[in-house]
Amino acid sequence: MTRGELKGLLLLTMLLGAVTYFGGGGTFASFSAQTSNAGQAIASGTLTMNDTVNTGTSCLSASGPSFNNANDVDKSVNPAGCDKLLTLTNVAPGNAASTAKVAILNSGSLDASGFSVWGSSVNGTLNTAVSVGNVNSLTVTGLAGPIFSGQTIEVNYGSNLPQQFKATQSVTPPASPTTPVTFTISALAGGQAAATAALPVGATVTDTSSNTDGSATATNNTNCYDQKTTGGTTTATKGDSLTFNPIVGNPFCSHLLVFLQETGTFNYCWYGNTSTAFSLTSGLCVVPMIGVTLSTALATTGNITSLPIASMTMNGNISIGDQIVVTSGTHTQTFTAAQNILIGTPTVTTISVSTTPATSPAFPIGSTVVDQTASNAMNADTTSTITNFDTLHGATGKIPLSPVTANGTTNAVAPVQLAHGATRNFIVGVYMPAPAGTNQNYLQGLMSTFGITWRLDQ
Amino acid sequence: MSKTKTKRYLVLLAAVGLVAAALGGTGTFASFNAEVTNAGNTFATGTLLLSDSVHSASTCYSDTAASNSESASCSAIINTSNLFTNHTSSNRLTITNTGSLASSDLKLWGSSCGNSTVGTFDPGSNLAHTGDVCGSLLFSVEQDASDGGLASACVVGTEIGAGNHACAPTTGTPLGAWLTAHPTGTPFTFSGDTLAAGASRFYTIYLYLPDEDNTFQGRAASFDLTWHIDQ
Repeated sequence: MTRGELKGLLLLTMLLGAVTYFGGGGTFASFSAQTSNAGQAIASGTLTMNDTVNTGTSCLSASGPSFNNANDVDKSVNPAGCDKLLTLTNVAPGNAASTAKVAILNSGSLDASGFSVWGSSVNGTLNTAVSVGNVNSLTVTGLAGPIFSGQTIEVNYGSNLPQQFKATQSVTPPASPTTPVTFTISALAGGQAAATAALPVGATVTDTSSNTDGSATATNNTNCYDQKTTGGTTTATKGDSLTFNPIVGNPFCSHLLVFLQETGTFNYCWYGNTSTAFSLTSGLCVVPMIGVTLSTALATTGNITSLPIASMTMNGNISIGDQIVVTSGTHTQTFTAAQNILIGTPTVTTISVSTTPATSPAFPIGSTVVDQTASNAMNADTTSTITNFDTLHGATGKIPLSPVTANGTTNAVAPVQLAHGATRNFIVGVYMPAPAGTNQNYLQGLMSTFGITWRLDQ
Repeated sequence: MSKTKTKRYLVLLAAVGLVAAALGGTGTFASFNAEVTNAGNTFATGTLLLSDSVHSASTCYSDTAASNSESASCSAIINTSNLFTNHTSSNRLTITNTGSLASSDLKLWGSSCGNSTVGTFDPGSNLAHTGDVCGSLLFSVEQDASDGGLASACVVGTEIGAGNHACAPTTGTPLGAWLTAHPTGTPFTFSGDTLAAGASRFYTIYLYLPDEDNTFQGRAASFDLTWHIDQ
């Protein structure tokens, strides 16, 4: 029921009461009769959501330890949390995008008029309960991102109103998310902090001032943060043994490109590189395929209409119009893609191309096949970074996920963005660009950690 | 329920309705919402690092330098004095990828070679110390199966042959010509050679000074060799 309908009902009720009151003065007859309509029942609907990563087990909004239908906990800390999308190690520049499929289901009985996604705030889960009264510090686990002294800290639990404090100590995420982190707090205006309601273990602790500084300095306060990789051996040095890979300003987060691609009946690139015209019309984020080779030699006479490739699950997006370059030694030829192929499509064995005359010498088996349009766009991209996702689309810049009505087209005024029982599917991916001629040794041995939050509103 | 109570109930209902209707449009209703977060996603890079271990000397590491290109702490492969004609100097070297990523190549290049005069001479000596050592030396690089082990290929220079893959130093490549052909911009690439994480390559470097005249007395040549791997 909308707010307008509810208003109307209540006005009618008021009118009914008024008429009955003023119409009842001393006119009742001595005989009387009466009926009762008993058992009126008004039940509220539900608005809950399920999050399923690839073929994993769904996590439920209602299972969050904060008991407020928000499940924001790191699964490393609490098994009720949602699956990670990506865990990729030993990556080098230009590696294939690491991707995950995410299915968001409105598992409630009410339609959602709002469906949004954003870069998670710096948050954690309360690890030590706080009683009503004076409180000097908070201890959390699963701290995602740094907390700086002076920033606003909000604690949410159950149906309690959010309680706000001010951090008076700066802290950074530990090497392991399960390691508790304690930081001191004061009242928002300064002075002694006091909890007005008990804050049990499991309450969500959010730095609502986070994701406001994505600079390459020590004040970078994004949810995405960098750490040096650890645990090296004599034959595989890790990041913590190196001196030329500082993490100040989260340089890796500021370099990694992230994309959010909706799939299904239609495609839409919600965040990512859409710099090519082909991307916009196809609704596909620009993502280059990697490591593709010919499975059969190309003919040297006649016309080429398809490129036979070694069977693969496509690891990039190919948009109609993309320039596909086949290379063998110094011999290259450029073709134009004549089909869209979505990242994650299994068992891809050919790429259709516009009719192109064959050339000689032949391109043998093993010749490399590169989507040059996508590669050039992504390797030059400094915009679609995780840092920018956090700062542009944090909690105050949520991306509204309007229904997709055609490839690359949405209905921004649709009253229902996710109907009850409906599912919308997405692919989330990360790509490490390899800009030509750029030494990226400063990114060796670094690990970026980040989160993505989804929300339904009635 | 009595009439009075009924009236009171309905008045109360009306009042509730009035208040709620008046304020309902200003967002005081806490609407339903649901939220989930996929937290803790990680993306980590590997490392690509080189160690350079000269036989009977210390090992140096590329990451000692902020640029991951170290030279100051690396030993010379061959540092000999009293070299004489028709004589070979050699030494062994082990190159190791100490990172976690495989390299796609292994390259070698050299600096220019410089001649100099060394040592002290009898004031009465009239020897002309002008020999072009750089131009005379013959350079060979032999790849071995292990440190000090059997040769597997002579990658710069000429193999002894007849099944022996060791380099024949006396028929090596002229050093000057090799250095001219392989500066930084045009490195020598070890054909088809990648270096897996943790893998090593073993080399023996030879320098042979052919038969030369006395102008080569008290002369020295110096040059650098740089080993390089790419992701």
